[in-house]
Amino acid sequence: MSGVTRKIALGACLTALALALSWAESLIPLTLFIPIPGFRLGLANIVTLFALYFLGRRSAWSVLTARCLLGALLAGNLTALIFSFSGGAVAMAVMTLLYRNRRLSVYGVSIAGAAGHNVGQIAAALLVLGGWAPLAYLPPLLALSVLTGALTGSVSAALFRFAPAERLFSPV
Amino acid sequence: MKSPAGSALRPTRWDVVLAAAILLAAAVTGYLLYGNTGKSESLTAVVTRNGEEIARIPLDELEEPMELSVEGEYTNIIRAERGRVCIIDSTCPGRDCVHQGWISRPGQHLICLPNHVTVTIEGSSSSGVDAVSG
Repeated sequence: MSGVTRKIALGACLTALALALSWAESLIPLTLFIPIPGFRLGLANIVTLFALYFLGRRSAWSVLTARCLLGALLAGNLTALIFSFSGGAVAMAVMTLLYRNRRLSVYGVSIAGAAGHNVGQIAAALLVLGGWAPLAYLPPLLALSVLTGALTGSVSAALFRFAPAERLFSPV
Repeated sequence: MKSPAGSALRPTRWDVVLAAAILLAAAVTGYLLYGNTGKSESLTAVVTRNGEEIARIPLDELEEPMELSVEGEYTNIIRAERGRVCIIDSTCPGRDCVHQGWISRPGQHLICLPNHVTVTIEGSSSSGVDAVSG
């Protein structure tokens, strides 16, 4: 397989994986314990991080866009698309800026992405709901993003260790 | 093709600095948003859908509990009692709005994102201090 074909195939697999993870985390009733709308673990961000580090920014943006579009189709509503893409795009922009920074590890990039995701979603909520009410959720969501970001960062770090580039990209 | 070889897989000092900066931002925005909600004389629950006000319930004047149904893409049932309000039932997926429970202080919100509905408690203070400091 050529490098490009491999990249496309891997991108498609990652999109499917991200969708599955989004669905899986929706089964965890987190908001029962922490009643903040929009609060979630952000497991799909593990896939985004992986795509960014292993495939580069272009592929990572493609995976993100495909995930949001397909996710909205599966959920069957446009609001879902607005929220998932606004959050995903801000997270992605932040992580794209930071991932080459040698001072930060995967943990820092993941935490910044999680915080960016919440900022993007709150911004979208301000526009959709047309009022300042959603802003009230920014402080707790930002604080929680440090926790969820560290969690997805640790999973990503483990994943990066056990999924070395040579194995994924060596010629078959 | 890019490989993440060499990228740090262990938390660094700068990760901690970044996390601390985010927590600080949370604390500062939190203080700015909630810091000035003083005691107030009257409580009013304001219900909006798509940014438009659709109901205004004077919570401290309610003699009996009342329920309000907000129809949209989904249906929210809002229950107001003397001094507090909640979304008691909803047909939206996830039902995050119901899980938020009761709110009773000025500046608190209930939000149903799928249905584009917000419930905000407004309070007016008699002293006028809040108007100055807020």
